[in-house]
Amino acid sequence: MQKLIRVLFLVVFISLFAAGASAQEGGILIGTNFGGDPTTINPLLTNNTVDLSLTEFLFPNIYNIDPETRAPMKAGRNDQDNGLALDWSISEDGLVYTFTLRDDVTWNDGTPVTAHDYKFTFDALASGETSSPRGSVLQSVENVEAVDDTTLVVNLKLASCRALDELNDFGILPKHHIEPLIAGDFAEIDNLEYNKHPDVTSGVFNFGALVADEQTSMIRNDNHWMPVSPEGYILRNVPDQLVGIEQFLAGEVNSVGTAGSASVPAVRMQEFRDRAEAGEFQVYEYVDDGLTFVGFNLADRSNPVNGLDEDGNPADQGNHHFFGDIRVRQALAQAVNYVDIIEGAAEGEGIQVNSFGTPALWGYDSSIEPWEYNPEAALALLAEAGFVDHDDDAGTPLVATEDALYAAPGTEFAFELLTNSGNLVREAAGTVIQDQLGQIGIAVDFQTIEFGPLVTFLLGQDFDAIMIGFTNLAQDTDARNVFTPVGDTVGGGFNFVSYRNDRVTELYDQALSLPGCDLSERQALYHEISQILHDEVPWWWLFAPFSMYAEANSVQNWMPYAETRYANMAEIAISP
Amino acid sequence: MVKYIVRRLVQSIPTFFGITLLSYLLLWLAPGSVVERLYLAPNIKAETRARLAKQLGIDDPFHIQYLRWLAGDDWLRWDSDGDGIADGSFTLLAPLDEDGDGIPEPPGDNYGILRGDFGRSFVKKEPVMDVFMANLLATLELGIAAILTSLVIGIPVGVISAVTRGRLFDNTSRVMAVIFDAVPNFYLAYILILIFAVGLDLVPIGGRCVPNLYGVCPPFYARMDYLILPTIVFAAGFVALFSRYIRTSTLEVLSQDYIRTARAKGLSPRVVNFRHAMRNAMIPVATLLGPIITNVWAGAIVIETVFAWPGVGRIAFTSAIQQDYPVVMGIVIFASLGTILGFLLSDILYVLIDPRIRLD
Repeated sequence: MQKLIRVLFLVVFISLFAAGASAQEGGILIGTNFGGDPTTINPLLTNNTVDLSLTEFLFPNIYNIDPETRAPMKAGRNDQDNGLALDWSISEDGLVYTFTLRDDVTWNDGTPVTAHDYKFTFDALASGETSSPRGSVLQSVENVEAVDDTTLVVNLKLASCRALDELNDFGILPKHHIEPLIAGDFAEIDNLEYNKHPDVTSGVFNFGALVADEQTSMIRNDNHWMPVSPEGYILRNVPDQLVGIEQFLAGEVNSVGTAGSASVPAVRMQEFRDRAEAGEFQVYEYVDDGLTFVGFNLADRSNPVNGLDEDGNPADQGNHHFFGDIRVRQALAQAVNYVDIIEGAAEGEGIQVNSFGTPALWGYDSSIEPWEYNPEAALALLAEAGFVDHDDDAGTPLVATEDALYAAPGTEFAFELLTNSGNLVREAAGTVIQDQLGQIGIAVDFQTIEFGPLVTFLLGQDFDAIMIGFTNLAQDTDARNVFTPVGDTVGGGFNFVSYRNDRVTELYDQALSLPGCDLSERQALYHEISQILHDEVPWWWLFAPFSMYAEANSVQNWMPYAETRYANMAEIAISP
Repeated sequence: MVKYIVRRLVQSIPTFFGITLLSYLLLWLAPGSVVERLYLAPNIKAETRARLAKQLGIDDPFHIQYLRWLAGDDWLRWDSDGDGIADGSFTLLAPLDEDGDGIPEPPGDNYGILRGDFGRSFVKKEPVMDVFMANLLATLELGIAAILTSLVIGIPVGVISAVTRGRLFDNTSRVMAVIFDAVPNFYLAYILILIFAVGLDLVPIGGRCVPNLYGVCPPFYARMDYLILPTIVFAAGFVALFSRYIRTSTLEVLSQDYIRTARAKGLSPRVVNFRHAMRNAMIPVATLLGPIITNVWAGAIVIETVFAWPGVGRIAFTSAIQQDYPVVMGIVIFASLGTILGFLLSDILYVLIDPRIRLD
């Protein structure tokens, strides 16, 4: 027994000694990753923020995004960033894009990055044989030609102002390295060892190591034309956000979240603000480029059909007995107090949105007045729509009269509101909505269900109302797939509410095919769309959350922007 | 003995197949799919998701998916002339030109678990065995540390409790056993993290190794500070279990004649309690081996997630959430085999420890 006790003491002693020795060395940037291992580090196949947090430092793109304006940015020679295009021009008919590329960018094995690399990557995507999710670019692009090493010509099938965005939707692969590995079969790209250990890259970092469920690292590329200061960047895989935040507060990591995610939860933002003010660490706040909303099913949920029939003509989808009537939707938009929702659901860390998008998107029209809480106006509109309090009892639901457009007389105003379980923000928002609608005689059967079934109901268009959120909205405000019949396909389309307004469809088409793609002209078209969407309430516009980066004081010269944590990696220095 | 083991193993075969069929069915019945979970965004077209689903084979009917996973699909369609295009098939199960586009579908390249092919992860795009083996060592490290710790603490506590029956130590240990058995793992984990890692800064807050650029993890004895808290949380429930079992069986043993004889011979209480009584009181512990192995698998899911411990439990959790069927099924198989063999081993150990018992 005495021996046993001695051994135990020894174990504890060794442990405490090792704990003291585990402090991190200076010069390495360490972030926390709550999103699991990267699924792939191949820029053609990536599809989540963890993957993208790595590939943005490893692979070149056709151009860079200006971190401040989120607009495409032309490169300068000797730029540290990996944007290749020094310049580009668009033909008058909008069908030919010609890019002039830098000639001073190399892969880390010394081979120059050229237009042939881009063409190779695009051809792999166009083959349809890889598991790349980036299919949308193929809708508008006919082909890509590498005229020479620095000249790239893109021919479009139809003029599209989204083409420029879509052409930059993927990073570029090293043709000279990948081509021999796949022997002409693009399907083999999915199976490459390279996808987990990309040895030939072109960025400020080289790939280091991926240790499953533990960490992913990148090591400074000393051969880069502008080497950065940090020796490397490690993403620690921490599935529990609470634990990850404590690691940050204890100084075990430099940042909460990855390069591509903020990750300070709303419930702790005020604490972080206060502690940052006290000088404990640095924070940066911005309005997220995602929003939380309730989608109203406008069609008959008992018989979901596509928005367009086989000949491309509008189909008869029936009308939802409540939400088919615009007055009902407008009434609901005035029946809840948005301040209560944002306070209750997001700890006040968000802003009400007025239409599709958030102030983070250039097409968002901040001048539109969002819906205001006005229960009297809501009741008046509901009465006009044929829903009345038949028994003067506020505790019972309103009922439909003969005046109701689609509900049978006598139908009680009760509907099902779904959201995904485990999302505390949405669960709280749903409870507030349920409570406040109950006060004006609308019974909400609020249900939280697992995400899988929720998606099945959503895409199957088998719901009354559903609360979800869109995150990481594209920098372009085009939402043609969301609010026109093109996206109204049962089982897969994103116009799951079956919204149809010919003017909106026309405006989206115009904004997409505008000659010259002038941003301010397109903005005016999107503003008009926003006003219509605001007025017609196909979605119940709720709020956009605030996001917060938190960075240790040891990360010096840190200059973040919305959606870009490290815009100036070259200047960043890590103090020990 | 050999006959018994062979019979038990043969009896395990239908149990094993039943488990795989039910598990696969449950996964298949779950609404949604890995494609909808990973590729649900307005800028990803429904056609793209359909193509990805087809590539993964998750749009096939249940019986085809299960058959492919179990026995492979290289025999469903075959390429006899080696030109890469299928030229024959079992038409009922896999028509040669399934999508009717005039081009035969490619021959299958899965061998199925019966031939040792666990398939590829839908998400990680790696062979399931690679995914599993990458994390197995971490779970074994934690599981073994937890079991050893619980035996080292649980057995003496149980014996001393029995010897001091009704006194302070016994009452305290029984109350503690109930508490540690009842407190959820994740809750105990958070409490310990807050006290020992955040408050006292004695141990790191989760993880298995010091983060480093080359992904090198030193041997476990050089990083035991990372192992302490998860081991304690893991072992807490086992200590409670062992101590209560040992206490009960020790009490039974202490009332036996041979113990009285040993005492009458003038042997010291320590020798009587720990050499004579404890040895015999250990017999019931052998029966716990099967349940303990099951508990290690189950406990790993929560403990590894909270402590960011890169073990198999983490894979089980994330794969289930992502509906990554091949990985989930791989883990189900290993867990099933572990449990079946654990119970068999319990029975065998029982016989080896207690010669009075015969396997029948």
